[in-house]
Amino acid sequence: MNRKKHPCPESFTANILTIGVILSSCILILGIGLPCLGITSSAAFLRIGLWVLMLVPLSGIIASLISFVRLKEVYSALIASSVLLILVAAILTGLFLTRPGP
Amino acid sequence: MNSIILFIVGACAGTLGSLLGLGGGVIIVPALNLFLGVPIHTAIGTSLIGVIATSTGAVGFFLKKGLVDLRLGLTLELTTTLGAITGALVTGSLSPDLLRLIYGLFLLYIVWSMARRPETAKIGPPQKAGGPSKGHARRGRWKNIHFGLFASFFAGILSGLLGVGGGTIKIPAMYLIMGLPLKVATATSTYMIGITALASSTIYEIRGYIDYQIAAVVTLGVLTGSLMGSRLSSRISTKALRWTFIVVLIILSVQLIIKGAAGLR
Repeated sequence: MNRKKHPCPESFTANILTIGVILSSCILILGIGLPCLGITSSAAFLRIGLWVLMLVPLSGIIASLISFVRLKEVYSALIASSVLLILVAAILTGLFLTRPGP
Repeated sequence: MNSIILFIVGACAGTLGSLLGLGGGVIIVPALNLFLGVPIHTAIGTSLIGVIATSTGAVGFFLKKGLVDLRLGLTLELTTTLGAITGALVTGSLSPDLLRLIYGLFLLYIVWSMARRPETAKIGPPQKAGGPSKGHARRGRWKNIHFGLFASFFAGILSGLLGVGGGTIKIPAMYLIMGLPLKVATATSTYMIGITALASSTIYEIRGYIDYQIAAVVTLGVLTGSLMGSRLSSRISTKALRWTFIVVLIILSVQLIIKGAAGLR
């Protein structure tokens, strides 16, 4: 019988985290390196790079959730989705609320 | 501000963080506030980004080694994230001097916990976290889960309040109370601190307490330092490093307490 093999949550999550870290590092290096090339508008790159980094743990949880659903681990999937909901609420607040300033 | 100094601060935090099982916040915040003159709230917000970098930079390796108990980590994160959001909300109402004083006292607690830690966990093949993907997460699989949830909430508050990972609370709780092997507790805590820091950093972002220019350079330093730390871990005597770090932390904590207490008078 040909049964499709799913990756374990740990290795799947690890791969997603590694990709996220590499991506954010590249954007940050670009943001820091641009002023050296005479391009002054690098603030957007820094902001995007840091937000990508901040979203890496979130994508790790989504990867875990996908693996738990595939493996039919109901309890773990419920826990992961609850944590995800709390974080998404916090991130949406952070993204869309105006800054009162320090 | 000199980018090279910021990069060195981040690299030191990342290296020591990965060698000693810390988030790096205990180095970044005092360095930015005491030596580089960054306001303490901004230093904490920036440090949280560094904590995310430390966690994400190191946890991939731990996950592949099977050292992270993913299911326990996510379960404890239920209360940790709530604690982190609470802590971050409280910070806004505290004066910088009171925050410095609390930070100094927290550093003294870290000194105490590091001095009595039996052995810093090194990464190796044995003591796996129950085996990745083997068996389902079950209620009651871990000892004292209720205490773990309570300790995690407290660790979350500290993380949101002071811009640290909170590993100094989570690791002893998982190791001593919940009965996890030290390596698994350390790796699981490293996985958790990134999620915790994400929850509180969004609140700091709303309040404008994150300086992107500083955070970017420090983050790159932290990522470089984490890589260096994992390479150096087999060559450096972590015992000697730990005691050197304890002395540095005592000096920093005394400075923070004096500065904070003087400002409160």
